[in-house]
Amino acid sequence: MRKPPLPVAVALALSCLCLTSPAAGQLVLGQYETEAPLASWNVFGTVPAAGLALGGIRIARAWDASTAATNPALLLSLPRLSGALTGAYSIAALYRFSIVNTGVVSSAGNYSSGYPALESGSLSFRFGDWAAGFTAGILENFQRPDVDLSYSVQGIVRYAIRHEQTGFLRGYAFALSRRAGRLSLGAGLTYVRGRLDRTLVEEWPVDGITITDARSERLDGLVLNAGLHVAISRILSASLAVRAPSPRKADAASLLRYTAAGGATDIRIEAEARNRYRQPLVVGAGLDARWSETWSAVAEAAYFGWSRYDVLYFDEPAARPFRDVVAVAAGVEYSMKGRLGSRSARFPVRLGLAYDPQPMDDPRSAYLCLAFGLGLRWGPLAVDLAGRGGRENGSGRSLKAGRVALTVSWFSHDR
Amino acid sequence: MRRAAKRFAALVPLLAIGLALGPAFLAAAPGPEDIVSFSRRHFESRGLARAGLDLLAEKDGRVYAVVTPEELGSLVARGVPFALETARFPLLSASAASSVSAAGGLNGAFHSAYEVEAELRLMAASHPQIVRLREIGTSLEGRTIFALKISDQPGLDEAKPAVLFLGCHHAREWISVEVPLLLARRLVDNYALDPQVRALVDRGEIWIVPLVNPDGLEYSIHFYRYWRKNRRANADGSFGVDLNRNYGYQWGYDNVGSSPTPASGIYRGTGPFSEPETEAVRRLFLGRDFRAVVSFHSYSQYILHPWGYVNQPSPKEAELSALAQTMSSLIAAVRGTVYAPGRASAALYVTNGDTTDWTFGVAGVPSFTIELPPEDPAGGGFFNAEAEIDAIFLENLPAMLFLANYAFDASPVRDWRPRVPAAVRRLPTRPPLLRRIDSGLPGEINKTR
Repeated sequence: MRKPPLPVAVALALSCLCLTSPAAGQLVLGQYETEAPLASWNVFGTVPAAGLALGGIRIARAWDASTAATNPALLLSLPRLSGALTGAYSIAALYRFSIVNTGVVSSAGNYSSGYPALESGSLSFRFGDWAAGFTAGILENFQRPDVDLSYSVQGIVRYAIRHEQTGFLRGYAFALSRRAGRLSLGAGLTYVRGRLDRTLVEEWPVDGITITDARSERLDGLVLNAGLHVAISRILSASLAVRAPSPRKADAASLLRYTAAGGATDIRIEAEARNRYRQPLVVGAGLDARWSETWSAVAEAAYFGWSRYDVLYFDEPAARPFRDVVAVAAGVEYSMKGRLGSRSARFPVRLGLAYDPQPMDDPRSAYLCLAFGLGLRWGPLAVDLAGRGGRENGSGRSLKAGRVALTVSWFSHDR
Repeated sequence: MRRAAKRFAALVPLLAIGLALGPAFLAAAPGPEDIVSFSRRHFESRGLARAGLDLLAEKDGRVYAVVTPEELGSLVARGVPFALETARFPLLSASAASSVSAAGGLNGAFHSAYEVEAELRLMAASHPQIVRLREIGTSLEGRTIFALKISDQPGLDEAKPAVLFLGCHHAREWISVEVPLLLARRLVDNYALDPQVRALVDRGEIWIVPLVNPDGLEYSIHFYRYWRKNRRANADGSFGVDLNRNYGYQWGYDNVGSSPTPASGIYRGTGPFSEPETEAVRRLFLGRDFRAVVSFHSYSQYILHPWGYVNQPSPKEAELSALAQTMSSLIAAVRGTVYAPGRASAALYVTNGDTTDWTFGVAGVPSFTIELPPEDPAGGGFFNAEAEIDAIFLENLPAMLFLANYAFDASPVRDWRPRVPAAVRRLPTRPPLLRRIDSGLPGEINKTR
């Protein structure tokens, strides 16, 4: 999960307090507030590779039980038994975060932060008109590129500054769904927990002075979600999903410390608090059209009520001037039929688009993403590989975000 | 039809799960807190003193407290008479009310901008007979800059002499917020109790602006402790203007006492009063009869008087020097801390565009920069222990009261035209000698004013 320090060549140099291009954001960092997930604020469950290849579909169609955290009604569309594992590598470019490009250290270009992860595992079981699903996965990642700078004179370090931020949020979701004719309805509960740690150390070794600013948060919360799926015709189905607003709590601790002259001066300011990040309402709707065994298309839109996002940070409300956004995704799938060995197989090819606006008011910013994926359905096994790349527009920094995912699934024979 | 009904009935358990869990989630959020007041008599007779309530203040025989919904319910159940005061304290009614009163959070006992505002509003609300809170400006990021006026007729614009105490031009100098804020608290709390305080408040107007640079302070708390300037997004992509180089008297006199380079820690801005924070102070200062000014900074323990822009005596050198010496003696008498008096340019270094050169330069008002403890980086630099806040305030209190009394006794300044010493001429622009302050590297830990 850890990443290398910023390359030396771009190591923010010793002109680190100057020479960047003009930018709007000041204290309100927007895109990369400390608690911002890497790449996009609009997180709603995990997306398996097949969904990623269609632009990031998570409401309108399900491939495995990861839908328990988004649209649990779709659990009934899965075979009697299913299991899936998804691994992914995610990467995003950042420009302004924490002390970087906010006045302390600066850079001429963007930096990237990436991480590989076994992102989710899921199981589902269908019995009659009921289905149950469980999924566990990494929902959000809070890491930032490290800053590690020092200034030396004749080989003696006179000044050094290090900044590090890591963190993630895991979700464990359980859901039940029930079919009634053409209508399926599901409800789920997700327990989230994670951590967010930030450390800034500044040193003047010759003077024996060190300033440490360390903060840690242990996050947890419960999220309620529900979904609905209607088979409108043999070709077309519609879905609706809701995630209730939910408080994400964090047991937080902070230490601000100044030591000098070998410890003769040791000033500490310590704090503990119960932070709160009130996550917004999410409402999504989607359509799934399968007009032949070969061709299908899917589209969805998800509303995120970020204008009511609310942060209480170390006992003070933190300003987050956000707006509501609607993220959309759509994709088409062409599934070729063939044989692999002695068994028949299908080889889906997927193409998707997504528009992912970010919630900050200023600057207005959105990612436009293109996705592509391939798959294999071979007896009870399925393997899907997908990649999605996006470029942000609005901040003036053209931030990019990318993701490659591989999902391996197993199904019972009744599919 | 029966079949449809049966299907619908099958969905009921799921709906029940959702409906059952929904309220539980909502209940997980902390309920809104309220502010209530009781009579002192009920507070003592009903055992409320031992109830662990989050007490805010006592005024006119009533005790104010922040209560949770559960505590409110308990009060009702116990039949305790109380008045709901929440609407009178809009800011304190936010969910963090109890913490605001305790000045907790990341910066511990030091005040954030939010806490300063809450504290000032509380003082104004609880002592309306002697306090008015004025909004004198808005920072770049939209935070209100407040001035607290303490006077026996705070609602009137009287022709009374005034004294001005300013804090936190520089974001990292957290102690410079606390000293003027505690002075305000001391005056309002003791007006009814201490004849000397009453006499002082009745004689003139005491204006206190504890936080000139709220944006910088917030950045210093949340992101980088040693941030100095405001949060101006400069044209070159750097951030911040040094507010204590942005005043209009001899602004940009040379490139030593301030810098034209935006990334510099002593960047003076694009013009005099280019920043809304200094403009707010300018508007407050002009048009009132101020007769003394103190701007608090840290660190290094100095009492500095003009000039800062050039190492030459001002026309009132003897008077200013004597006042600084007296204040230094008063401070030292408290617990022996030595604040060295001196002309700013000689005692520390030259500065141009600073607060006290301007207030003295344009109005002839005795003006002082007090550099609060510690004395040096080894003692903490811009850090002060939380336990030292009160002690630093208390050692400064006699000097502040002395200066206020002096100001109220002083004659109005008339026909003030500062003389620029003949030996002084505008220096040619030189490359900045910024002692590495541009890079924030080792020299910066010694940078104070």
